Parts: sequence; structure tokens; C-alpha cells
Amino acid sequence: MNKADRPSLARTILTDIHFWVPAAVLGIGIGLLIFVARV
Amino acid sequence: MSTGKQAGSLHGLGVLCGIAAGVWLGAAEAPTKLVNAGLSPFLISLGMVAGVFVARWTVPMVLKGTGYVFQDIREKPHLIVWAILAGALWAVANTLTVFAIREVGLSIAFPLWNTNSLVGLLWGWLLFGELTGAKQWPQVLGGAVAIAGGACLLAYATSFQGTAPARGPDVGIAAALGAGLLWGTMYIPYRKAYISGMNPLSFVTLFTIGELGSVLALAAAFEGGLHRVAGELAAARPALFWLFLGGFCWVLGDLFQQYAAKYIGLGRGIPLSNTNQIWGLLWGTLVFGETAGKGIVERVLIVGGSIVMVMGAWAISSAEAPESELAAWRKASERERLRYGLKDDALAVDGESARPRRHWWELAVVAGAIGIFVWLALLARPQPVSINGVWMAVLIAVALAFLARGGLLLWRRTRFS
Repeated sequence: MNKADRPSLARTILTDIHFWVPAAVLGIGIGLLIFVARV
Repeated sequence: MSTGKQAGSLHGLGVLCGIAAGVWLGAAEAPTKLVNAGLSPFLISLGMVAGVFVARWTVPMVLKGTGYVFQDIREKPHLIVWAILAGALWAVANTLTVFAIREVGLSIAFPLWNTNSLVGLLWGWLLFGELTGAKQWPQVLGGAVAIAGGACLLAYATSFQGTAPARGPDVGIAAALGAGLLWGTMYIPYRKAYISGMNPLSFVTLFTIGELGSVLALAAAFEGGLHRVAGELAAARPALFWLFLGGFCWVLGDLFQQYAAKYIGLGRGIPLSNTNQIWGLLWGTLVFGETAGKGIVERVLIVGGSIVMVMGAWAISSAEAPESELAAWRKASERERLRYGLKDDALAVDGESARPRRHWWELAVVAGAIGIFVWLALLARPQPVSINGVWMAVLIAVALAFLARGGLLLWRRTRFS
């Protein structure tokens, strides 16, 4: 793929499953932390 | 990524790194035992992470130089996102364990969050093709389960008090399971970085930004603001040296863990480094006399748990990745190369194609880091904890032997790449 045809870095990252799995788990973790701190 | 022959020859190195990681991560618990009760868990965590931050910027610079680290980062800028994500995952998981211990006690919480190696193994298989086509997968899985099981027995035996600390068991169990999930998922960025050819030394330099930032934010949120945290840190100055020392040992262990993840993958590297429980126990038992007065049941559990862990480590150590699995690793690397436009040599093992020159101010940074440790040491007060000096010398000698052997082999075979 030519460099000009390549999507932007941000787009490449945001369409990578390797990004969304840890990001989603981090979101769950922060939510859980807020929950346990409030209980 | 390496060729099959190269990767095969690196199996022994990765196993040694995994075991050395366990030794140093276990040793990291020792200095924190010297810290008197009275400090909040957030403050202890923050003190250690501050020590980790100092060490993580210094050790890579000493070994490879800032020019090398920054060049590595410039060649794979997308990995900045993953390194900071990994640091944040670590910090949130670590804070969850504080709540888990508070609610259900260590004996219940530890086995639950120790599932992180199995979570890492799952992600390694699902996302990176680890154990694909490997006939030894039952051996690796069995070894990981044995290490996790052995660690559970040790945790149960060492925290066996006969009292029920449970106040809110559901909340504590959820926090412990959450910590396991987060730590296990943290290994996705690790593996992502290494199949892209990033040096673990560069990765940890970025990782620590996410880690320190998140720990600071959490401490501020839970301790009543940054001003109050700063005030408590100042009051805790006599104990900070021990926390920094613990953080420094932890960095050495973590670096070995990163190299293990790079050279033998998550499925093998993470369970091996989770043997840190056995080394933490040795420090507690032999140096601090923590198991004195324990009954026969606890002692049997400790010996049994240790044997199960050693057998698990042996099973994983002898399960070298076959050619079919190495092909799956190369396929995962190729995906990264195409997706992020990495250079072919970015996936080379030795990474010695270019050596950016060293700068004079790197010496100043090293001197500054040493200065911080010396300053804190001068402020440190002896803690009222009795220790066995002979056993302490023995365990320090063992840890240094692993450091020397692991460091030398890493240098000879990979030039710390």
C-alpha cells in the first residue's frame, strides 16, 4: 500500500481490535472502581 | 520477529527472564514490609510508583541511551497509545486489589486476581496466535493452572487467621476479579509492542507515564485532592526510601517479565513470572519470620503450594514453541508491519542496525536519580521490624545472581533489544 493511500494513524488505531479490547476493559475497570469506592 | 531458528534459540532466554522476573517481583515486596502501618494503601502505592518512575527512566537510559529509546518510539509512534493504556490498566487494577483485600481478605482476593495469567493466555491465543498448532498447549495451560493454583495455596496458608474479614464479600470478589481481568488484559499492549519489534526498555519508559498519571489521579480522587496527597507524602518521608527501593526492585522484575513476554509470549512468560509469590513467601518466612507459630496445616499448604508451583513452572519451561506456532507468531507480526507501515528491520531480534550516540546529560540524569535515592536514604528511619540477616544476604545473593545471569544473556544474545 502506498503511503498516500494509507489511512491516518488515528484511524488505523481506532479500527484496531487490539485497541478496543484493552480500552473497553479499562472502562469496565474504572466503572468498577467507582462502584466499589461508593459502596 | 525472528526466524524460527532464532526464536527457538531464544526459548531458554525467555524462560530465564520469566523466572528472574518472579525472583525480583517477589523481592520487591521485601522493602515494603519495612514500612510501618499507618500509611494509606494509596500512599504506599504512590510511593512505590514514584520509585518505579525514577528507575524506569534511568535503567533504559543507562542500558541503551535516550537516543535509542526515542528513535524506537519515533519508528512506532502508535505504540505510545498502547503503553499508556497498559500503565492505566495496571494502576486501576492495583487500586482494585486494595479494595479487594479490605473487603474479603488476601486469602480470597489473591486467587481471584491471580487468574490474570489465564486471562493473558486467552488473549495471547485469541489475538496473537499463541499456542496455535502447538501440541504442547495442554502442557502450557496445565502449567499456568498449576502456578495459579500453587499461588492460591500459598496465599491461603500465609493469610490463614481463622477470622473472617469479609464485610462486603460481593464487592470484594468483584474488585478482585476485575483486577485479574485488567492485569491479564494489560498483557495485550505488551505483546502488541513486542511483535512490532519495540524494545521493552522503550515500552516501559512510556508505560510509566500512564502508570504514574493514573496512580496520581486515583490517589487525588480517593485521598481528598493533590494538596492533601502532597502533605501526606511529606509526612511519610522517613518511609519513602523503602518504598522507592521496592519500586526499583519491581522495575527490574518487570523488565525481565517484559523480555519474557517478548521472547516466549504471554502464555508462557506471564505464568512463569507469577512465581513471584514463592519468592515473596521466602522473604516473608526466612527474613521476616512471618510464618513463625503457624500450625501444621498451614506449613503443609505452604510446602504443597510451592511444589505445585515449581512443577507448573517446569511444565511451561519445557514446552518450547514448535515451528507451527512460530509461524503464527510471524503472521501476527506481519499483520502489524502491514497495518502500521513498519520497516522490515523493525521486527529484527537484535535491533542493532543503528546506534544513536549517547548524550552527556544522560550522566546528569543518572546522577540525579542516584541523588534522589541517597537523599531518601539519609531521611530514612530504621523500622521496628526484626530481620534475619543471614537469610536476607542469601536471598539478595540469589536475586543478584539471576540479575547477572539474565542481564548477561540478554546482552549477549539480544543486546537488550
